[in-house]
Amino acid sequence: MEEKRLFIGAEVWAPWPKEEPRGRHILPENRHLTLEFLGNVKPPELRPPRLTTALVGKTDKLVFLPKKEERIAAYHIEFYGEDLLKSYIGKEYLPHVSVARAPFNKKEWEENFTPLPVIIPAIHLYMSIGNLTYKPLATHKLPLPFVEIEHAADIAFHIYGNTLAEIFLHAQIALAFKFPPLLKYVNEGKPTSLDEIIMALNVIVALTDQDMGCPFKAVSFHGEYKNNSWEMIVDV
Amino acid sequence: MYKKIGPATYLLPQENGMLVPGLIIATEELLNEPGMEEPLQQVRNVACLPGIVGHSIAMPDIHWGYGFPIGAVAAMDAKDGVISPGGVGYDINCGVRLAVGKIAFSSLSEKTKHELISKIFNYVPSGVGRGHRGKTIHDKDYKNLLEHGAKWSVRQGFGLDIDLEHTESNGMIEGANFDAVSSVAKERGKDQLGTIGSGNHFVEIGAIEKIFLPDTAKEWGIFEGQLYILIHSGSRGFGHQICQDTLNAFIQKGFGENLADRQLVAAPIQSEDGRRYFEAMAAAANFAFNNRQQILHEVRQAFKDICNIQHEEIRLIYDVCHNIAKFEEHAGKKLCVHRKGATRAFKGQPVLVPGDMGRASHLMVGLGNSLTWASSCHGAGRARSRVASMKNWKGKDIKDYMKNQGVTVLASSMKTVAEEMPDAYKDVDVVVSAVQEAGLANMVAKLKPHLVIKG
Repeated sequence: MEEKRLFIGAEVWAPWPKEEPRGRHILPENRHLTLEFLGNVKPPELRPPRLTTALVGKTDKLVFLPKKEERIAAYHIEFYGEDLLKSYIGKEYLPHVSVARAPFNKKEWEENFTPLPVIIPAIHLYMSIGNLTYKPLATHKLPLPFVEIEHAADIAFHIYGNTLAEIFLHAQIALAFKFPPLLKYVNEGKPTSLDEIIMALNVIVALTDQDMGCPFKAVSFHGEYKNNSWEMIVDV
Repeated sequence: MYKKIGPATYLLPQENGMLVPGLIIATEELLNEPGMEEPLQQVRNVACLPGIVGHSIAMPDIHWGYGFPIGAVAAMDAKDGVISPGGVGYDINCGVRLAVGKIAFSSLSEKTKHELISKIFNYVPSGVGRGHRGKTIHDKDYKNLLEHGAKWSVRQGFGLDIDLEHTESNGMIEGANFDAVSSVAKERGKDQLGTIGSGNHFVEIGAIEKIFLPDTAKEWGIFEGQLYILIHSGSRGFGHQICQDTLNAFIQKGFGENLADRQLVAAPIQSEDGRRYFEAMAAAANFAFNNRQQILHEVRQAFKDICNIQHEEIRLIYDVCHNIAKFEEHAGKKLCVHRKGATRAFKGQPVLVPGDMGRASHLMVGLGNSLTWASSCHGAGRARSRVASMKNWKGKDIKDYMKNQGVTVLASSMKTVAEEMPDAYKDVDVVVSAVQEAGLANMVAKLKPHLVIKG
């Protein structure tokens, strides 16, 4: 098989804003976290990750790379809980997702930065095909923290998690995907029942509403935690 | 499953723990729509609540809700029955207000319409987090507006005394108690008086398109082509928090155990918990009456600024609640009537039924039908989820489409508009036809929106 320009990366999903500051943007579907740059090589086998839990985090600051000649605007990612990707690649790395290349106005980016929730849905063996476009050659899907589902009157999700703490975190991330400013109140609490989770989520809704307004009225006392899943319905 | 017992009226048999039968107001067409089984099961669940009297009732716009379906009516014996926050809803006293002008809508020039909608958009905050900056309510005023209802706003100069005569319960639910409301609820509501909110709330201006009952229309001063204003809003974060506080308390006390759905959680009306909830609910209801009173005031001011139409020339027809629990007397019995997504329809009373922002809304007259505790529907009901509506309209020019329907839309968020497009809702004409066929209310006039402000 011929050599290609390859790297291992983690796909990044976020509620990217419709408008971003000027620059040569990397389109949302191409945004990723580089785990290991392989270079011009024949495609190796992509080692499957042993991840039983979803990877969620947030963009917590801007970074401009490389330091000596800043030509990439990127968001640094802080993971909730352990950064399991570090174990996967077996070494330290800078978790960041590049969003634009030069030319750009650094100050414009800094002034417009707001934190966003992120999900890592898959690890890919990527091929760089130029023009800020990357094609997956091999993929390992990762557990998702939630999936939005249809609901006639309100909004609804299946929230997934191996523990109540994971359900609580993933539910918050689902809400933050719909309304990123809510991220300010996301926390890694350890509720001991589904009712406690629902009450804690509603505290976050109330805090957000007092602070800046919130599109959600309340998370309803609906459903049960069963088979590592909970159907969350949110009154809007 | 159900048995037809009259025009657009079906019985759900009393079985499996139900204390009363279910009663469904609907046409065959509405009953056969997909997704009806879940809300009908909720009707059966409501029928199991202690103290329920008569029937567990479903209106033609019924759809799934929290505990109670939306479009539900349930009356409880005031002595032995229960009161349930799920039977009122999070948005306590979400309701609708209809006012009319002396002029025809068509007499407004295009320039005037544009200036008017922009002015109202400026005067009446809409959208997520859009409170009044610089119009914070402090404790003393809070206590008064919660305990005195819309009269407080009128005394502050927001509107006319006569408005109160055309508001359900004269704009005040008795029994509101400032001390029954948490500090979190007060904090959430303090900047939100006089604001629309988001989601399906709106201010709409249009024309009376068709008159069905000329005598009633004449009595109410309604004519074809007349300019109307329709306002849909509720108790905002204040009411949502009161509902949440109560649900938390009731669930923590174990009131939800042994219920088919713990969102039906309820307390005896005559208990400390039941009384406390009613006092807080009444406070939220009075907040909402004040909210709609102040919104109408700002709309009147916009008409004065742009069209030189005086405040008194915009006349309130009626203001109705559609999420509330009220003590009423029916057939000599004192009942606590829960109406969740349903409207009171006393004999001769205006009934307001908003549809969607593209097609129509309706003005009806109540017939005081005792079978539904003098209640009627409240709107069209959603036919499509927000997710599906967003997908359907992705990449399309929504504003342009609405313009072609004769409607100009101004909104804080186009995402909200995409979620609220006309095809996301059932056809309100079908819903009101069922209500009329069942003898709950008669159509008086059809309203066509032309200028819409959404959150």
